[in-house]
Amino acid sequence: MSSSASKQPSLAIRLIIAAAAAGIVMSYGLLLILSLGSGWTFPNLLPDRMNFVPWRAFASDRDVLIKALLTSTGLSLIVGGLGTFMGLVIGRTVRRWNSETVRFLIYLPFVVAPVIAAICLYDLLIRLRVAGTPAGVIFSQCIFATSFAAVYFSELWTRKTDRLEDLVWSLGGSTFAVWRHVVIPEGSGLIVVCFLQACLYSWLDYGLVSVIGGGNVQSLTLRMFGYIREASVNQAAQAALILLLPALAGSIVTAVYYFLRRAEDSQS
Amino acid sequence: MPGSLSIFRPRLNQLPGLLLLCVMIVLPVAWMIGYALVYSLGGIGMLSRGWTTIHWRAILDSGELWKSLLYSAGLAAGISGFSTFAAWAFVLLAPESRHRPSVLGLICLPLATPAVVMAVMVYQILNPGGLVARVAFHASLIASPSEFPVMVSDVWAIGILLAGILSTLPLLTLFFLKTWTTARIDHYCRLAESLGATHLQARWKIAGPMLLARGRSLILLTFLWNLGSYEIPLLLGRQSPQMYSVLIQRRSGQYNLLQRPEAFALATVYLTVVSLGVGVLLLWRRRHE
Repeated sequence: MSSSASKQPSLAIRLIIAAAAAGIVMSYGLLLILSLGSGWTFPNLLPDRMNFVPWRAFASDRDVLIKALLTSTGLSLIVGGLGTFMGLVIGRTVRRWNSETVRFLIYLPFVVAPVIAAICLYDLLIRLRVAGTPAGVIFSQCIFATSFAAVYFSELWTRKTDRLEDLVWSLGGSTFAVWRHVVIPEGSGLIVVCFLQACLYSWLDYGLVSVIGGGNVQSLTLRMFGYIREASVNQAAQAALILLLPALAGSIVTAVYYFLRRAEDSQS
Repeated sequence: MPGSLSIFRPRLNQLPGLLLLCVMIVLPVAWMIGYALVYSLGGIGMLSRGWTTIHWRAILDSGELWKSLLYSAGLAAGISGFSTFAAWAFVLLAPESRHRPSVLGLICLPLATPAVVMAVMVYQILNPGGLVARVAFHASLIASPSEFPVMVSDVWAIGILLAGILSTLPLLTLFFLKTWTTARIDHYCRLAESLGATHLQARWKIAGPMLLARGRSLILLTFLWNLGSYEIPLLLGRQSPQMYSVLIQRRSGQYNLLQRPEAFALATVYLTVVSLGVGVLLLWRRRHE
């Protein structure tokens, strides 16, 4: 492996990588530059006036964007926490049970388009009197976050954890002991990563919040589509950046976690 | 398997998991499928006049169902197919890039970019008043935005394809790079070479098929995700034909309640297709064990 690692890639590969890098810098740079000014009339490559208006308005509390930011943050923390916990409990049951029907059921929401699910669930939420409220949005997002977490925890648990758990049971430990000595210490990394991903799911959701929130729950994604419809390029770019940052931070944490785990695996 | 170890475990412990499974997943999924089917057959609904197949015949006769379904499946297959090929070819040509932090960084940035932001970015770059058109104007290639070739909301769905590929390609590339290590493909390639295969033969006949065989579940998943993609076609698609999610959303819309059952007939078809996809996914998974 060391011989292939030290080998320099061919010119074609280096060109491809350079082109990808240039494209990425250009696209993300464009968003950043657009968010710094106001206006963008046709032949100009930069905004008409570089006056930082979107960010100054953001700092003042009059702006609706800050309310959307708080709404999205609240939703994603609640959905992340609830979804991870319920997914953990379900995932452990599914792993023990090992039934294909149950696997099918937890996988299904994982692939169904949220907006189609939202349309089908809307009537149920009206009957539960939560349509158009944050509670309804949280419930519907939790279905998807729980499904994701259940798939995640039914697949990524290691054999070692299973054996440890069996050990605690056979020594007469209670459910509490299993959670305290096995689930939490052994799965803490997995739990953090799953929590981040579940938070991100809610943070980035547009399909569910637009249908089930019915305009009453103004999340950041909803606000961004609003800006696009109002054709306010600069604010849409700013909202896109605000959406992007936690996603970026979350995936960096995930990447670092997997990198560390791989390093640990190779050591042991 | 873990199940075989758990004979002495009290069944009571599975109760909370079972209960949560029912409340959070089984009931909503059953409701979704049941409600869509019954609504499309006129069993419920404010304006329903009893059970009927008229809405199903309406979507089948107008050809809208097939048009939108084939359009969505075609775009999803194009996105997944191209992304698979490009990621596969890149990893086969340069597997050593899995050790390069610069390449991993380049993959992680678009991977972390949500579909909504990707759609906005592609729109700002490709629309007739966007970045590329402006650069073309300064290079004297075009004299006004109207001369710029239409690449968003266009016939060939270039915008949707590009945004979809930019979201899917990094995921598959990262997966193939990781598989190269976890499946110890280097080891098998060296083995083949020591048995007399050339370097190219080892890559083409050993590494290539190994990557595809291990990646097929993820490739199918990306197809299913793209099939139901909503935000990207909402921003970058055109009125007709529409991607499936957008069509269902517009049909179920607030303007004409008479068309609502048709939206649920379309949703029933979608849920059936996705269920079949998940079935195949689990079948592959079981065979793999």
